[in-house]
Amino acid sequence: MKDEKSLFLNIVTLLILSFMAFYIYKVSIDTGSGIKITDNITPKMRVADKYLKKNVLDEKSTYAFGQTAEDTSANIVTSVVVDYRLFDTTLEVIVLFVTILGFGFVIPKDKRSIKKPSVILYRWAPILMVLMLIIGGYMFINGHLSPGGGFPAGAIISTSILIGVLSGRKTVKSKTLKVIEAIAGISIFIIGIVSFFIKGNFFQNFIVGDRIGDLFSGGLIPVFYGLIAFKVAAELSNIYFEFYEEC
Amino acid sequence: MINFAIFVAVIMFLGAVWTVLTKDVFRAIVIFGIVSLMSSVMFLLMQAPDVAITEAAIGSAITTALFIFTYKKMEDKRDER
Repeated sequence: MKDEKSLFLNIVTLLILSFMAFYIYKVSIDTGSGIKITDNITPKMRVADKYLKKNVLDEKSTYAFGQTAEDTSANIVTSVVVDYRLFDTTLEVIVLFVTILGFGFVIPKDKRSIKKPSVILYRWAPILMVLMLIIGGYMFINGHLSPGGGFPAGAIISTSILIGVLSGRKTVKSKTLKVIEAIAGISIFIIGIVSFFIKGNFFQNFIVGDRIGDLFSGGLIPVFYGLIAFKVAAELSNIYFEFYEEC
Repeated sequence: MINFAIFVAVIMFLGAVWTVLTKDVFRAIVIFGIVSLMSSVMFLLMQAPDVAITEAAIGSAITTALFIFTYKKMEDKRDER
């Protein structure tokens, strides 16, 4: 808040963020009487037909809803990726971590300092950053309802930090990123071990019985996606600071 | 829809050939970004929106940015010599 223009930008950003937070709050407490777009008591009113049938190709397939893993996730791809094949994504994240370790050894230590960019980029960077953060947050919060997921969400969130690097603004410290990455990486495996003790399988979804189509449904899927998104975002953002000084 | 897919595929093919043949490194990086963006559109046309989102974020944004950073670093080294 050095001058009036950045004060104005901060106020605009806060307004956008508070509007989004209010909307998320309204949708999360929606029980059919809040924001009423359609009659959403039956699952057919909340989720698309193709998702309910759990079968894209066969038009006449019917799916019986029991208490299994893929019941509460509306998106069939997400239920397969997180409930059955989370080892793939976890090992991908570990491969990315090893890649960033290698960056530190290979890249020489003389970092470029950031030149002052043009006024347009400097003034518009915060608004763009907020928009990218909103899209990234939407990706991992809504990953079990619509296309998206943890990995692209992390990539989009790290794009906002890339915009901050390009415009020469102060965003986050490199040490903070490392702490976030460590906490997210440890939490994924802690939740995996906890689900081993509760259900008997590693990474098994132990919260079942949610209402399909709600914002916070799907059991552990949004939790895992959030952790993966923060880990990927921190790792990819560390690469930019290997090239450029943090200002 | 099939005509649009053929149009996108032709752009991808020409861009890939141009990326290999051009002498200018910076031009090759930018055209490679265009090829990635077109492949993201191609994934969307082939009914894979999850892969399309990932390709648009990683392939066309982050990869291009990292290549340009590396190019700038190479230019610095060349100036020092």
